[in-house]
Amino acid sequence: MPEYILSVVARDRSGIIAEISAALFELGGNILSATQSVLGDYFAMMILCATRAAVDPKDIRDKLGERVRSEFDLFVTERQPASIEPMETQTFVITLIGPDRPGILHALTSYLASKQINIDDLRCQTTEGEFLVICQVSVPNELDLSMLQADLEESGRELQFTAHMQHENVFIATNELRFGRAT
Amino acid sequence: MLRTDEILSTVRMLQSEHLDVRAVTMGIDINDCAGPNIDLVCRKVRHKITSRAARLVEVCDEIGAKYQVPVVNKRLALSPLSLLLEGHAMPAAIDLARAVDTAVEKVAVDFAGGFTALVERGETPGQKVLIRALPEVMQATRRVCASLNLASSKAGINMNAVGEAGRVLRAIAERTADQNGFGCAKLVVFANIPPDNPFMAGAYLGTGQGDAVINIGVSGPGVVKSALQRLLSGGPASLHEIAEQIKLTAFRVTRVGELIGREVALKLRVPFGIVDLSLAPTPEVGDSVGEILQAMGISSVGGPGSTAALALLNDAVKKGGLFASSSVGGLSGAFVPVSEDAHLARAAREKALSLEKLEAMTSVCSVGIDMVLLPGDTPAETLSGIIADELAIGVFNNKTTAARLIPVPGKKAGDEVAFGGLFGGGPVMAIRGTGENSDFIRQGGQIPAPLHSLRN
Repeated sequence: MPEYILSVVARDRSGIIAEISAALFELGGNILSATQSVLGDYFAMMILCATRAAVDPKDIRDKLGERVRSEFDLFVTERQPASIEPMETQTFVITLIGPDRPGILHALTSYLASKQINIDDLRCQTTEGEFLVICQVSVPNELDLSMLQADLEESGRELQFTAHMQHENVFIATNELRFGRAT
Repeated sequence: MLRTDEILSTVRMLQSEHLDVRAVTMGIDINDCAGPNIDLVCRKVRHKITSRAARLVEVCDEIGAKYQVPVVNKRLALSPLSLLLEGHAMPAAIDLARAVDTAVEKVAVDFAGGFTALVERGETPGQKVLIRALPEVMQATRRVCASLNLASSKAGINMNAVGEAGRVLRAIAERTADQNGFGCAKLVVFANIPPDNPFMAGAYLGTGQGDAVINIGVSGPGVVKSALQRLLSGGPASLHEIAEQIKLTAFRVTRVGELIGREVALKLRVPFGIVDLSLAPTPEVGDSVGEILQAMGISSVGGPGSTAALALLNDAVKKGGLFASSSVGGLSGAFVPVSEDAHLARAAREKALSLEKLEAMTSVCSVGIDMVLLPGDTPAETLSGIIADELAIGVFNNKTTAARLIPVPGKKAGDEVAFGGLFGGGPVMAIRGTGENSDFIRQGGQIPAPLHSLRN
């Protein structure tokens, strides 16, 4: 069955997901997976949706236009198989806390990109002038962990940030009832 | 996916609240080194320690870095050395202790426990040799820790051995007088000694524990204190809420200990043994059991309410820890080592905490009258009397108790002594009735096992 990736952004109000899901249902679609969040009063949702037969992405756009009763931005495309060879990785959590200023996330993510470290999940927030970044990343097993930690801590110091990189299992162990997978 | 607030609370525990792993202790059985030629025995012991523990420190540091959780102490717990001394004489005990000392230094571990004799009902020739050698061994070695089990709920109290322990303590103190009797800090006497305790000076590997094992001592009191302060900063809380907060914190602390322990064991290809839930303070400010009690409203540790507060703390730590791990063992309670806990040392200095109150407090926690500085002229019988009282609490309440007493040569009650490092320092505490009741100790013999020893 063909699968489609949709991303919808709109001003937040109640009822948006009901309208999106009605449109997809009427197109014969089945939602396989979705994430949604609200940031700065704007709604954003990503959907992975399968249909019985191939659907023109334009028809999806038109159907959503009929159903969703407010302005929205939509990106829709047919899902292509992954182009990257999967690597052996482990999940680490990076936390960065320090005084807010432009360029922090750029510095962090440029470094991660240079090491081919993929970001799986990222959250940032600013509270009382303090910028916080928490990201979960997949670190290839071939990389030397102590080098990465040293680099991050050093670049954190230059930016007056506290930076830490810890294996996800310590967060699972302290916050969930299960233990993480032994590595 | 992990939640932001959960990640942040873990980071806070790790970075600013002293969350660490207090001890990774590798148990090593050295009974297969036994033989009639003590030189060969020593060679085998050195070989077994250096081969088994060669990578202990490196692996602990590697796993600690992965989680950014420091492993503060890496230690060894050996099977009782008295077993290797059967058929040998005093010089063999000294040689053996020196061999252990050298091997322990080579693997860069700070202490090894196991200069141990289990004599709750009587002494074998090898155990007699070990006990007689204690003063010289405690003087001649730096990294060897000793323990004697003088009593158990099954056997009662071996009062002959208790009497001897008093004399041995005096002799160790005299031999290490230039270090304020520090040799005594490396000897603990027990009732119901646990075979899997990862904490010094009482760690040793009991029978039935396998050839090698990794046991863990979880983090210290700093995390619990911070959690209570955070709870109470939001307004007053009931003792029930305080107990809940301690349980929750103990759960998280225990989880970190077990996570690290299991991974170290896996890397070293050694079975994982137990997690010991004990809250072990250090002299550092913010890492004190006394400060936890203070956060609970006990402004003067040793004053009325102290025992009840400690009982609540000890119980809540166990409940939280037990849910976190199916491998809880060792001592698993709060420690009240006076010289190693700056807050308790201050309470003793201000005379809020007396020796008698400390004894009462140890009936509801582990492990006992620990790191207590006493006047240097305390008679051996008085030391034995203090030991007998403490062991009776253990024997008759079916729990582990212990005494680590340091009679400081040339010092009297109120004088200050500083050992430095993890051993801290504090005032010499006064003993009520010094020299009295010596006849009781001199009677010797065995205090019979209590009624509840017959449980079948």
